[in-house]
Amino acid sequence: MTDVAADPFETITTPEGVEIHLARTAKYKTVLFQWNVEAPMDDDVSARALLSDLLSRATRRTPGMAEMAARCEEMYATEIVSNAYRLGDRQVVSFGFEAIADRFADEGRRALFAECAGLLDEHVSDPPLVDGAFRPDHFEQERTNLVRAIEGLDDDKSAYAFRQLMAAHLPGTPWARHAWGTADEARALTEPDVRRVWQDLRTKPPVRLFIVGEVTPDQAVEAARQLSGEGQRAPLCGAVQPPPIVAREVVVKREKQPLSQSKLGLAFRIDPSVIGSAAAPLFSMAFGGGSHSRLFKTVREEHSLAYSVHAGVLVDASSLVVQAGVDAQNASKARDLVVGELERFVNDGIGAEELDLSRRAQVRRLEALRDSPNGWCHFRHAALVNGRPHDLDEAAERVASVTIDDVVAIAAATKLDAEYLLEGTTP
Amino acid sequence: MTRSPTRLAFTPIENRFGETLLAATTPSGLEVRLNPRPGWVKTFAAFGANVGSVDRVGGPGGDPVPEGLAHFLEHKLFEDEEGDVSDRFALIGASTNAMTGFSGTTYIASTSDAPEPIVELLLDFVQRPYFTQELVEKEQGIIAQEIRMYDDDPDWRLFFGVLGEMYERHPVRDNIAGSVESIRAIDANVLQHCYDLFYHPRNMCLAVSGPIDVDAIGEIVERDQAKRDSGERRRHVRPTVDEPKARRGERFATSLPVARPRLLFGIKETGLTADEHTTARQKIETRLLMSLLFGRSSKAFEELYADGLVDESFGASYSAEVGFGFTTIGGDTDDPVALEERLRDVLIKARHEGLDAEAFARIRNKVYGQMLRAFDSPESVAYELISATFRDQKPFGGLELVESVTLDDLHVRLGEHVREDAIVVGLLEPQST
Repeated sequence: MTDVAADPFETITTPEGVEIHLARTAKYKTVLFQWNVEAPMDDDVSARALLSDLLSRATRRTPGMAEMAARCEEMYATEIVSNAYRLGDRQVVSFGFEAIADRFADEGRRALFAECAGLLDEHVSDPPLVDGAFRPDHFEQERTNLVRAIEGLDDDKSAYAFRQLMAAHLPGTPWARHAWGTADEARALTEPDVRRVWQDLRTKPPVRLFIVGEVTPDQAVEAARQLSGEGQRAPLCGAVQPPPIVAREVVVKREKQPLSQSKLGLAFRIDPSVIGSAAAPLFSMAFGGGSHSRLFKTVREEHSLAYSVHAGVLVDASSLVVQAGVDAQNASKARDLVVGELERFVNDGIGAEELDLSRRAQVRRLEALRDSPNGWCHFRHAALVNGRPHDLDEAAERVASVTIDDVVAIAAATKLDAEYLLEGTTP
Repeated sequence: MTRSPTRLAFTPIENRFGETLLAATTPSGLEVRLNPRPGWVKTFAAFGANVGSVDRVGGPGGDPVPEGLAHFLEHKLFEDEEGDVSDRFALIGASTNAMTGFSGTTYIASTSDAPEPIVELLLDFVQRPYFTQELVEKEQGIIAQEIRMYDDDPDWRLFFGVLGEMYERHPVRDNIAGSVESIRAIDANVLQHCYDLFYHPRNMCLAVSGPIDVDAIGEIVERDQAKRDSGERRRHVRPTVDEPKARRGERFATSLPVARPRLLFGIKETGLTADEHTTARQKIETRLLMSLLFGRSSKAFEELYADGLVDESFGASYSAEVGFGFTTIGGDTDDPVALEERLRDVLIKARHEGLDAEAFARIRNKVYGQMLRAFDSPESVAYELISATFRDQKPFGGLELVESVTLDDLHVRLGEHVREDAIVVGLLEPQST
């Protein structure tokens, strides 16, 4: 393994309550900046999702979309990034940028980071308003586009099947809800609703700021101060708690669509009392997390039933989800194979070499994050939110300490809870 | 262990981004490209074969190659007499994958452990095929599922539908993986024969990016290549396809269970040349042209967006290789008829009124920034090294090309590329569920 320094992130909390995670490094040619606002998955999720679109399109100084895009092109194709997504039980509204490092800019433009931070602040704090309200044309366009985007989520049938499975698996919880809300919620948004949420977002909810690149702590604090305004941020919420397990029969849901391939989904609950260890990701990896896994070997290689078959653990929900693309007539066989493999895992355990393959794969994934600013920041943020080790070395050490018994215990604590089949009816 | 320095003569590839890029050619003819990155953790190795879905004839005799063959080979090389190659990568702390495109197949491996074993294994398994009829039949079921998966992908369906109307005979019109029917015709003998046509060192390129020891990698390559021989074979040159200049049809329409209609406006390249350098320049010019006409900073995009005809899904791109080329413009829209009309208007107006000189002046900064950002991805670097090698181009040479392009060049390209008889319009409509 390559020798790397211990956790290179420095954590700074500003007087306004912003938690900055800064990895100061000249390793990259770029700088990544993510201003991640954390909010509950409440009735305002659609309003916040709309804000991420509305605020990123223009500013008071640069009110035109084309003009704004031209400004970013001049700044060496700086990309202003905004998005709303779910992380555990909460919504994250993220505003940020990816830009080239100052040292690569032309002589007269070596303060590019400050310029980008200033531009992002314009986006977040100084949009083009008319009489204090969002421009009606902008508001209408972005609301319409959000409704369309939400409706368009169902075009990706694997993702659609996943959402349907989660709706059956964890109904009424944040995990069964999209971070953009529903099309009806988006359609019902009014300008005053969204403006109220914007004013709140600017100064109140907790924020974690992630920066990777050649940026000094002073520059980071200055950018945070600029973006935070004068308000005092609410403290960060505690770690995500998985939803409680409800004793019930396995929920079976099925629907048909004119598709060539059927999508099978199985959701399992894992006892929350065992999910905290590093064994759960290793179990999911050995079970269905790659080409060395049980499901890949059985469902795909041995029975040729699927091109894609995959298991993934949702640590924050204490769940395991299996998805496969199969022919409709093979769905039941594939389902039985998955359930049978889980039983085999519990009854026969796992060999040392098999576990080692998964362990190495998991460590490799963690190590590879060091070369990916985006992936690294996301891992860190998710770990912080879930109350798990956010330092890669510590996370890797925990993976190294997992035993065969730990993994089998996770398998034994994994119970089928919901099945979903999107049956393709095109011959 | 004492290691003798590699005898492979690596020479630096000049670039304007301060990156170390090295090139060498083995006596067997294999092109090797390295990008040492001290301080990085992950090593990414890519082994490319100059064969893709458009290669439907090969060898000096012009032997026929079935549809979907390159992709089938890609799948089958992962299995040999010892079993699944992926398992061996996993044992050395690495992951592996592969992908097939129109004109290339690339096998990849990455690790955060020692780079040398993965390079050794990557070279070995790709160059040591093992085809049995039983394994081939098993794979047919898996590939059929992959084909069905893509059949349900709206963008994929629309894209290949448009190419199918654009091209009469060129194999670029066919699905990369072939069809459920065409792959049934592939057997172990066909795979072996086609493998021998395309998989030899002179038709391959290895690129490795990461915290590597150049001598150690060089030595592994040398040791491996001492066992290989290209014989009389040369790098595969794609024969000219007797393809009419004009489009095959004007329109393509289909339906799938999607929320909104999608429009894809295609323009067939009619100014094709057999020269890689001319093609590379054409590619840059057309991409700049489309960026000026339909990019996020264009007046056209702003107006279409304001009028509710496009959203963030809208985009324009250009692809070209020797033998084929096309532009695609489009995205989701509630009113495909109005969008089509407006796209035509933008093209006509640009021909009459010219392109935006102010936007053209910004292009250098934009391209410089985009290319610099690509260097933060070892994957992007490795792919570019392979792609440039097969096209006899300087890797990351796009910036120099961009700087040499004038606004007049783009006006000429506009007139040459955008022709009424080259336009194909594709429409995907929502199908009731």
